[in-house]
Amino acid sequence: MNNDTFSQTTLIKILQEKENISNEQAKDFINLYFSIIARELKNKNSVTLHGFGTFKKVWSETSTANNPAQGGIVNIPAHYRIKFIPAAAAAERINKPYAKLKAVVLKDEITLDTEKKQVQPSVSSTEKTIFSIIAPELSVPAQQQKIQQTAFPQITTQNIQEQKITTQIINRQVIQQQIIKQQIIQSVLPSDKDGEPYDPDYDSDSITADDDDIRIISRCWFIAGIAVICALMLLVILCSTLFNRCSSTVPTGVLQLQKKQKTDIEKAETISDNSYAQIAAIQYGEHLLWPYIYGANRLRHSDPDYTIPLRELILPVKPDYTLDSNDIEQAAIDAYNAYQTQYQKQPESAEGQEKRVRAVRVITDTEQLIPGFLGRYEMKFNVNDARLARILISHQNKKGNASWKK
Amino acid sequence: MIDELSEELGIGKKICGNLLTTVQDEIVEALVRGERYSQQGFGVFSMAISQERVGRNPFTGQKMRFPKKRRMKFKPSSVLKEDINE
Repeated sequence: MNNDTFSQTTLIKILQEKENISNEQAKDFINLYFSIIARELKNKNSVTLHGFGTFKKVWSETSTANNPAQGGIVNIPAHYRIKFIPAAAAAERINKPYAKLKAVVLKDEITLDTEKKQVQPSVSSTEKTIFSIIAPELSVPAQQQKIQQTAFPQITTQNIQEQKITTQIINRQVIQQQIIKQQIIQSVLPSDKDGEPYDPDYDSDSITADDDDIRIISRCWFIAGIAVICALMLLVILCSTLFNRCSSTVPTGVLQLQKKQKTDIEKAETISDNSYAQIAAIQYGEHLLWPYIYGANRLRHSDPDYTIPLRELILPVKPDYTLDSNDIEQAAIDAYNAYQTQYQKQPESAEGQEKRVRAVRVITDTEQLIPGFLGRYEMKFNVNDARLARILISHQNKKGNASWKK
Repeated sequence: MIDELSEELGIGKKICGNLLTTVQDEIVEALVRGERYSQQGFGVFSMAISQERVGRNPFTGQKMRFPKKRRMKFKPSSVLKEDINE
């Protein structure tokens, strides 16, 4: 199958590595090893190598054979043949890929015969009916009865020649009937005598041609199971979608949500700046840049609302909106996360709510500084927070437009 | 055999034994990989796949299907054949 050769040089290399011997020694060893086997084989009948196999000498007598190339008969003189029988361990190792496959006992022919007998009566009845439909005038029993009825008087009264002719005709008819019968049987029962069709390429021992029926039934069950599971899944999906729709159409829930959002928006617009924002306003002239300062001091004080004493404060140089936009965004996300964790600790209390609003404010503020911030990092924010931030931004835009118009 | 090998080559018996097993092992391993090993003047060891066949159990006479199988094959070289038939 695969003609890659395992060369002697690689074998020599392996030996060298394993036992720390020279190239020549390894080569000599291999050659001597095989020559000893050959010599032993010459003197004895068999040589057994433990864990590898047995070399056997088998005597074969003089025989004749056809020469396939040139034709004609060739005499083969008596000679010893060399037979190699692999050891069980080696054979097992080589056959490992097919070790799963096991020999299967087929049903004996006797059982097949009984099956045929069981099948035949039912067939013969159907076959008779078919037969009578196709060739009613050739039906066997009727003809035979006729012969019996007519033949006896003919022997006694009429001449023998006529009788011979009639029997010949009847014989022919009977043979024809038999041929037709066979054809019909074959057409009705094509797989009766052939045995099971057998696929030589299958590689699994779990399926055998003998239990075709079991296989078909098990397949049917399997398909039925899949169908049931699919139906259940569909039902579950339908139920869940219906439930979702029902819950979303409940008006009170929406009203509550809207109310909450309104309060949140009001809160967010009236919220006071923290200490970082005041510092940013003084140092940079832009209070919205406070997350940038917070980002620099975050590792020492994770709470954005904490007022650090001025001597401990790290104050970075005023960032450039275009060059340092990534840093600003990152700092804003850090601030948002800090507020979020605080909110998660006490989501019900007023303080927690305030933290949440502050978190949203961080988003909106940074969006004001760097447009498109929310769109880029929306995945990192809570869904509700992002929604609220969008509403807030649209509010602020409206306000800005209104003030600009005035 | 090990005695003779060690005497001829002047290698320790223990090392000889190890070498012998490694030679056998590596040849079998090569056959497992589907490769073949040919020893000049001795023969070729190769792996052959015998297809599935229907046969009979010689003891019970039952009809059986024997599965596909990888087997170890040895083809003696003409030199070895002549040597033995001298």
